[in-house]
Amino acid sequence: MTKTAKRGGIGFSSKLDNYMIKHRLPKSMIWAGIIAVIWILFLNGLRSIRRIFGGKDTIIIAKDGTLRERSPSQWSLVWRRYKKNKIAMLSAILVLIITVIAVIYPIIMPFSPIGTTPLFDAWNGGGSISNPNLKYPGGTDILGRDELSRLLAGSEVSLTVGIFSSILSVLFGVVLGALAGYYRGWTEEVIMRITDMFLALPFLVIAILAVSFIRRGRLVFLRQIPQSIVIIIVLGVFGWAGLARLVSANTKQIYNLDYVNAARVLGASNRRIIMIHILPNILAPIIVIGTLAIAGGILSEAGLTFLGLGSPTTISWGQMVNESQTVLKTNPELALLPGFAIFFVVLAFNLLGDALRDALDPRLRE
Amino acid sequence: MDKSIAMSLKIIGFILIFTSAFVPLYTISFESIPAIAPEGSFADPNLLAENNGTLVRVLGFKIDYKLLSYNTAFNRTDAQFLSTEVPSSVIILSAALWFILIFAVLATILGQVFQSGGLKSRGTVADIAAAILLLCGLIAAILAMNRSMYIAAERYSADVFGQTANTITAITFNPNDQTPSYFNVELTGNITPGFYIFIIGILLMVTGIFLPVNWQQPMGSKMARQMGDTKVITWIKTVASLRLTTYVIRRLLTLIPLFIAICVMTFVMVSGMGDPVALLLLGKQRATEQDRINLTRKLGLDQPIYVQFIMWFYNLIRGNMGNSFTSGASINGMIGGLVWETLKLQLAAFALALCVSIPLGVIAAKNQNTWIDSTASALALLGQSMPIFVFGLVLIYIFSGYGLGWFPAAKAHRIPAPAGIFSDTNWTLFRSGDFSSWWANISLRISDSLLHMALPTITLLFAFLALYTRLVRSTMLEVLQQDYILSARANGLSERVITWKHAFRNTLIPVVTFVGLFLATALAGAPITETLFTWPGLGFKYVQAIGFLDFPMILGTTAILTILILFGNLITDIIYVGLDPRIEL
Repeated sequence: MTKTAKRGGIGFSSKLDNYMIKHRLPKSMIWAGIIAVIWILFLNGLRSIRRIFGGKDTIIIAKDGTLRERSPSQWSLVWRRYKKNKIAMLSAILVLIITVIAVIYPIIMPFSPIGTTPLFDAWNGGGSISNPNLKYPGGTDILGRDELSRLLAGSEVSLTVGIFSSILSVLFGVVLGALAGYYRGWTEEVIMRITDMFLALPFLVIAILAVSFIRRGRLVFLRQIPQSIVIIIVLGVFGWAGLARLVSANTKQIYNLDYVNAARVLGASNRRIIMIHILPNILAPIIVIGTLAIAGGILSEAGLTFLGLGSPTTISWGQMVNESQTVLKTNPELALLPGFAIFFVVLAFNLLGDALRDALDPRLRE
Repeated sequence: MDKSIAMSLKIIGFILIFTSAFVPLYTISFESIPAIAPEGSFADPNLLAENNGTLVRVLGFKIDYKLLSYNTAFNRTDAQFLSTEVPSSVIILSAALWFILIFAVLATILGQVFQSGGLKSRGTVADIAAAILLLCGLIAAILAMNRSMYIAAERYSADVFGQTANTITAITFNPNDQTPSYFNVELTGNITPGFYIFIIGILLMVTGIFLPVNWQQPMGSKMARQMGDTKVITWIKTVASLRLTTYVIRRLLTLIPLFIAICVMTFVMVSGMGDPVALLLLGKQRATEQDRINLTRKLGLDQPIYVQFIMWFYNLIRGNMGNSFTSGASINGMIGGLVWETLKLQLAAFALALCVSIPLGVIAAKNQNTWIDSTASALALLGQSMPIFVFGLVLIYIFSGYGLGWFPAAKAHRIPAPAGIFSDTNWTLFRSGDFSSWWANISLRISDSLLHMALPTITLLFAFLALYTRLVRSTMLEVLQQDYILSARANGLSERVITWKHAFRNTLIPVVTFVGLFLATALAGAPITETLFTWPGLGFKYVQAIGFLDFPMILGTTAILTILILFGNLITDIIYVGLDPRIEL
């Protein structure tokens, strides 16, 4: 039975709706598309891309009519340095591919990742725990679901958790670190003591507790929160301490520089000094640590779901490894494929982080 | 005022407070047998044939945990409940004193911080006002405490009415069972010396915090000059003025509120995790509502959460972690073995990783931009990106029974486990002089242990190796660019001397720090490794306990893991400070 969109007419949107419903595509894809279109059309997306990556029009006509060489912006310098590094480009391409897969996987996956193939399919290479074959390139798992489809679908949760937990922890870390570094005294003491506490926490142990408290606890309203959001919140809340310490140290260092004093003399507000004069100067380590935190987040998510804290309705690589441990002897690919998927994604983000460090700040290079 | 006086007051205060925790603090003795009224009539103590109910007294909240059995004229055993319990205000008041303890600890830390320059503009008036405020609060709390205990005592002995329940039919968990459960505290006696020690400690500490201090004076020098140069004083002076000593004390002081805060956080989360009583009674066909109530009371879960926390924490300080909900065994008895198994694994991998990674990192740094360097870097990157359980699975698939069958994949020993090295059987053999069979036993034990350790150790080793190699390499490169290396080269020293004597020693400082931090991270990661290899350590038990909602077990393992990590960090920092005299404290 195929549902059709309620609104009649042969417009583009109803066609799109019908297509999405027919192929069981998630709404998130539409949102991603809308954001991309808005960015390109209205927010000078292409132009900013060209400005960073292009670098062709280096000769410009100045106001007095002479031809001059445009001084390269900071980001184009970074891009030039980045381009030279082959491994960096490779990692960027890998990350791009993974991201694209995580967005468009509903289109390319061959079977449903949650539907089981009927039993008679055992004659056609399906059924439960079948070996890899041409129809099911990854085999089927214990419940008879296609491994390859699940593998593709798992990328979404992994990437979402990694990226958003990293964003959350960077947000916490930068805000608290900048506050502590800029406003000394009480603020710094309080924030740094809290930071010390979070640094001393046994991370995974507390994360396990927190996830099971939220997902299975007595507070029923907390159980409504989806699995991946719970993990994002837990990783974000418990992972910001290191960054806060770094940001606060850097802020303190910059606080006493002459140009900050000059800005203050000119009457700039505290907020303006922090946002415009201090934070852009410590952006490089923040970006690098944020990228590495994505890798850490993916690893932590995999670890948590491997320990059985995943929800059965969420497709996650760690959980797939956990479920397939029992059939490791007969079907090792069921456990090892998602395992190595985690490995490659984390590797790509680690490489990206290292490459970014080299490109953003040559002094930081080992 | 000399700095050392304030410092020593604070330290002595702290020591007193925490010794007082080991003495029963403040309890009331209930001498009279509680009068219980049987059905409808007034109390007649002669009717009370047997009082099986053990009165458990904890810090002034008196709670009857167990049922009182009662022999009536019908020669029937009825279950009696004490309907009146101590009013909640009493509990709140007695809890207040505990919160003041925590507050005093925090105040000490904050005082430390502010005296060391955090808060510059603090006048004498503010000092005195704060001191008076704190003292008033303390005195008020103490008075309230005493008063509340009198109220409790009177209330209890005056009227306690009984409520007769039906004869208990299906007793799944015998309420009259004498084996202690979750909170097994029994304190008797009046207000004990521990209470006074506690108060004196707090007073000393508060005085120490708010003493005006001249920080320009070198520590202890003035006092020592005044007291003369006797040997003991000199020794004390030397030890007290060592920067390491002050540093260690300061760090130890900061650890305490940290630990309390972590404990509070853990306890709140654990208590909200679910209903262990329902889980324990699951599948018990004849369990009644009465059983549920009994079990809840027996496990101590009928109390408000802060009371539960205070009881648990009080027991923890006194070295008692309660009993497991599922097996009923004492956690103190189990936890030693668990810690041993976890540390055995972690430290073996740690030592091996250090042995391999330090030479590897140094060689990679010496041969920068060659194939050796890139191989080491690639190895480090692989180890960093590989989830530990995937590498472990690969190892299991290749080397255990599925593949080559060299190493076992699960548990720490074969079943049945060979007798331990220091077990009774081996001692008997050793004493009787039968050395050959003694040695056979011992070698069997050791080889068995090593065989089982192999796979988890290699898994951990791979993860550690990546981090350490990377770290040693980058630090070594940084050190090799320093000026003193250049001057050493200019002086014509051999490359080996430069590498190992000049550069390597300076590499050690950051390496030690970060290695300590990594060890802490590794300990926190113990659940994954141990679950994969079903290794009977802290992490595995922790994950299991979360599945069974075994609250004391979860809390105990978390507390122990936290303590291990905190002390690991502390030792690392001490080594760091000891190695590098330039560091400001």
